[in-house]
Formats: sequence, structure tokens, C-alpha cells
Amino acid sequence: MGQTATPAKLRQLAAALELEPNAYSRALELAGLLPDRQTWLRGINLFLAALGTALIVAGIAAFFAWNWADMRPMLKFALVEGAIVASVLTAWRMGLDSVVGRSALFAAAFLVGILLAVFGQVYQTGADPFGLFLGWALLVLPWALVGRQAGLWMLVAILANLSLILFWTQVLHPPSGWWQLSQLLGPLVWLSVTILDFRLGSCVFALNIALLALWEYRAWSGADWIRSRWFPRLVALGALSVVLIPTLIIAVGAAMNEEANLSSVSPVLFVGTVAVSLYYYRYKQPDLLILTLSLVGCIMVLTCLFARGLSGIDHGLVLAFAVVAQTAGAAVWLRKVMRDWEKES
Amino acid sequence: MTHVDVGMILERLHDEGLLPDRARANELMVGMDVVQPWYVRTMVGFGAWLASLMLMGFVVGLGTIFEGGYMVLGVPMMAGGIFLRRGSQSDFLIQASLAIGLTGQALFTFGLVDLLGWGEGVEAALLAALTISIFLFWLFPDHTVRVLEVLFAAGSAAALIYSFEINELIPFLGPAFAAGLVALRQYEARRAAGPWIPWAAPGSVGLMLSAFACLMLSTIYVLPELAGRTDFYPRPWISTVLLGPLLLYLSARVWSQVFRASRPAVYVGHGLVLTVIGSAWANPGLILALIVVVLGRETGSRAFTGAGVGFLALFLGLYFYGIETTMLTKSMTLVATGLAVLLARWSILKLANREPGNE
Repeated sequence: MGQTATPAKLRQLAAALELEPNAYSRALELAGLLPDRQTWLRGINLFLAALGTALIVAGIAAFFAWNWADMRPMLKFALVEGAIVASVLTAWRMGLDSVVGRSALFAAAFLVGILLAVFGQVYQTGADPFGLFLGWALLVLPWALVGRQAGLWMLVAILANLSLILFWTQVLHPPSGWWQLSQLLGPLVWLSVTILDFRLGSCVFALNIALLALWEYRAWSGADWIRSRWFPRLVALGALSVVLIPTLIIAVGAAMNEEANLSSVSPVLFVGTVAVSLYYYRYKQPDLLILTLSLVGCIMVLTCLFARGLSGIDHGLVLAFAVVAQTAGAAVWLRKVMRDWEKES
Repeated sequence: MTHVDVGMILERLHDEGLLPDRARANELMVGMDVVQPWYVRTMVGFGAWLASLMLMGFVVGLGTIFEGGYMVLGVPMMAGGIFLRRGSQSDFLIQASLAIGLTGQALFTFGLVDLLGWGEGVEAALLAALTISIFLFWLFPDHTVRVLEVLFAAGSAAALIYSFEINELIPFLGPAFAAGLVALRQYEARRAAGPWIPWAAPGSVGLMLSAFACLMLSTIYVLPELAGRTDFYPRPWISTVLLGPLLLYLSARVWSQVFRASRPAVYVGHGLVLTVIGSAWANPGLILALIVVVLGRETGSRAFTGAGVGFLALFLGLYFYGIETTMLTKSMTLVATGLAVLLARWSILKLANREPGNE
């Protein structure tokens, strides 16, 4: 029968069989779902190492953000470079597969960015900020290639996205029009608004799809660490969002098409992405979360299209019916997919 | 993670005399349906909520012929939703029942405000929303709706406290939800069948989200001239003091496993937890996040562990971003905390490895 014992599956079975609490506990124990001493120790080790490293690196970043005027530049460089060397040596000494080694290598990669920022503080080169992120990404790329951890790849992916967006908005097409006012609402809002420009949005989309394709290709034949799913899921979410948001705006029929540089390229990319992901993550690389995200995107776009096409008092009723039908359809299909995977496994 | 076969577990239970009817277990296993993961349930809940908004827009657009008509309309819709959900297995009808039930609830609340006016009506509507949420949590036989009802009830309770200007009660709310969460999680971790199981699972998810939402209030900065007579979140240390024993209780079980018989090592563990509680004096969200991480790990729930880690990062970020001090002080505090965490990790692993029988 070959069914894997998950917490939900055991609970369902135990409820149907009305198992006694001691029998249920024993079933969980046999499935390895009750944490034993070693599980707790592994968890504590990983959690505290990651937390401690993150706090120290954040503290170092805050220290250089303070920009202590009395501190000599050479001392600043010596401190950051010393920290980088210490982190790399720790990673080398402890091994790239150990918790400490991985945390140390990630800290070294993060400190490279702080080093570049200190360089900018000291020499005031006047260079565009995209150069900092691009340089940072290129400098840590070799560590990502040898580091065997998804966290380093996520750092590279974030830096590559930032470099592209900043290069576009600072060098190629500096913002104009009313929507540049969104800069006042903070960097996150500003970054989200800039990618509404379909040319930049398409480039960001292409970059993330390339990263995703590369990851999935490596996962196909790669080592255990690359089978971790959180990296491709986050990148897929990013790529889908970049084309979904302009598609929704076009579907609703907003009057800011020209101002925000919206184009039918985004809907075409959206449809293509959904079609490919529904096939790929159904048949080639089972991933229910990405399938669910794709379906949620479809539901949102179709609902906006219905809303645009309808008018009159029955508007809400028809839309409610449409949403119920789409969500129920999606749930039915996802359940069928899960059943099929279970049979195949 | 190693994959263990369900059939093998049933076999072992049968051999150990814990499963008398092996044949029935086999039958059930063949006919057993798949269990939807949390993100599919979230999609279903999002769809129901969206549909209920549209349905409500439709009903309100039609208007009523008498005052309070929306209230009258809301009651049969809630009853209809429950009736439909009880009698259906089809996904379409289940989804429709959720949308109808949620619309009825929203219409009833809106109708009450419409009837009494926005002055006194808001408090009456909040009270009604709280009561209805409790009833629907009880009566609506659906996991998603029950999670939503806990959130609605918690939101109504918090809004009522602010509306009555008894803000002094706010720091008690998050710890109360957290205590309920721990109790329910412990209950459902021990048994799969039982009279309260259909309420325990959605209740614990709803209480976890409600507790986080309440403690997020402690991170909001409100201008003194907008805050009214009392603080928006007065004395956050009350929440810390109340959440502290919960963390101590949960961590005691972890230490007893990790350090087994060594009493001094267990005391060191308690000391570390007390230090964390003391450090989080003004930021109780950190304690709640740690409680959820431990609960998630203890019950094998990745969703809980992930939520706990995510909120821990959020509360830490907000705390260090928000404290009114220089970057230099922030820097020193962060580095010192990081070093303390690494020292704690080293001590725990060292003490655990000193236990007899360890490699």
C-alpha cells in the first residue's frame, strides 16, 4: 500500500479507529513523529546557531551604519575584513555541512556587503547603489557555488534582483510621472511599484525564472541539500507575483496603463507561467504549494475579468458564485493530484 | 526525514496488542482520503471570505424594506450555511456553505450597526459579533470556519476593550489566548479521537494567530495625542510575566528529555529560559514566538514551527528597529545578545554530551 505516515494521516486513521491515547502515542513514536532527545538537540543546535549568527551580523551592520567619525578608516576595514576571514576560517574548519560551518559561511557572505558599504562610506565614490549590490552578488557567488546551502543562493537571488531593479531605475530609465511619489512610502513599496513597468517586470521575471529553472535542473540530479523546497517556492512566488500584479491591474481596466507602462506582455507571461507550472509541478517535480499558488493567481485574474464584464445589481451574486465555483474546482483538482501522487509513490 | 510506512505501524500496533481489529484498519487505510495541507485550506478560506464579501455587496445593494432588515436576513443565512455544511460532502457545496454562513454573520453585524447607528451601535455590534463567533465556532462543522471564528472573536474582544477604554486589559489578552493554545495543543497531541477533537485543532490554530495579532499591538507606536487617556498597549511586561510560566512549562519538558537525569543541567536550562524572559521584558512577542516554536517542534507541526520562527524574526526586527537609542547602542546590544545565544547553545550541547551513555 506504501502510504507515508504523516501526522495528519496518522491522526485521521487513529480517529477513524478510535485508538486509545497510548496507542496513538505509540503510532506517532513508531513513525518518528515524537521528537526524541537527538531531534531536540539537532533543533536546538540549528536554531540557536542561526539566531546567534544573525544577531551578531545585524549588530555589525548597525555598528557601521553608525559611521563612527572618530574611527580611522583602516581600522574599519580591518574590523570587517577580520570578521570575514574569521568566518571563512570557521566555515572551513567546521566543514560546510555542519551547522556552525554553514552559519559562518552565510555570515561571511553577508559581511562582504558591509565591507562594500564601508568602502562607499570611506571613499565616497559617488557610484550608483546598484553597483554595490551587483558587486556583492558577484563576490559571494563562488561561495554560493561551493557552499551547499539554499540560504546563500537566496542571498544571491535577492542581490541580483535588487541590482537589476536599481540599474533600471537609476541608470536606464529614471522614474518620471506621478507614481514616483511612491518612493515616499518606503523602499518596499517603491520596489513593488517599479516592477509595474512591464519592461522591468519582464526582466525581473526572466531573471527569477532562470534561477528557478537552474535550481530545478540541479535538483533533478543533484545532492540532498538542493532538494530543499523553500528556495524554489519563494523564487516561484516572486516570479509569479511580478506578472500577476500588472495582469490584475489590466484585468480590472485601470486608467493608469500608459503612466505605469503596463502592457499585454505581463498577461501573456502570466498565462504561460501558470500553464508551464501546472504541468511541471504536477508531472515532473511534485509541488503542491506552487500548484496552489498558480491556481490562486488564476482565480484572482478570472474574478477580476468577471468583475470587469459585469454590471447591474446581480453583479455581486454572480461574482460570489464564480469565486465559489473556482475555489471548489481548484480544491477538487488539488485533492485528485494528491491522490494520484499517493498512488504513484 | 525518513519515511515510515503506515502499514508497518499498524502491524507493530497489532503485534503489541494496541490495535485489536487489524482487518478494519486495512479497510480504512485503503478508503482513506488525502488530508489537505494548510495552504490549500488557506486558499479555501480566502475563497469563502472573498465570495462572502461579494454576496454581502449584492444583498446590501438590494436594500431592505424595513430597518434592521439585514439582521433578519443574516440569521437564516447563518442557519442555512450550517445546514448546508452539515449535509454535504461536495467541494462546491462546502465552499458555498462557508460563503453563505460568513455573509450571514457579516450581515447580522452590519444590520445591528445600521439599526442602532454608528454611535452606540458599534459596541453592540462588537458584542454581537463576539457572541455569534462563539456560537458559530461551536455549531459550524468546518475547520476553516472555526479558525476564522476564533480570529473574529479575538478581534471583537480586543476592539471591545479599546471601545470601552479599558486598555489595561489588553496585556492580558495575548497570554490568555496563548494559554488556551497550549492547553488545546497538549490535548490534541495526546489523542486523535475524543469529544473535543473537532474543536481543538481549529481552536489551536485560531488562538495561535489571535495571540500573535494581540502581541503585534505591543509593537505599534501611537502618537501620544492620538492615544487617548490610556496607553495603546499599557505595561507590556504584564504579558511577559504571564507568558513566562508557559515557556518555562514547555521548556521544562524539553530539558527533561535533553538532560535526562541531570538535575544541575536542568537548572541551567531553566536559568537560560529565565534569562530570555528577563531580556524580553518589553517585548512579549518574543516569548510567544518561542512558545509556538517549541509547540510546533513537540507536535511535529512544520506550520507551527515556521510561524514561530517567522514571528520571532519579525518581533526581533521590530524591536531593534523601534527602540529609541543610537545605532551604536543597538549594535552593542545585538552583538551581545548574539554572543549570549551562541554561548547558550554551546552550554546546552556541552551539558547534554556530558550525560552518561553519550558518544
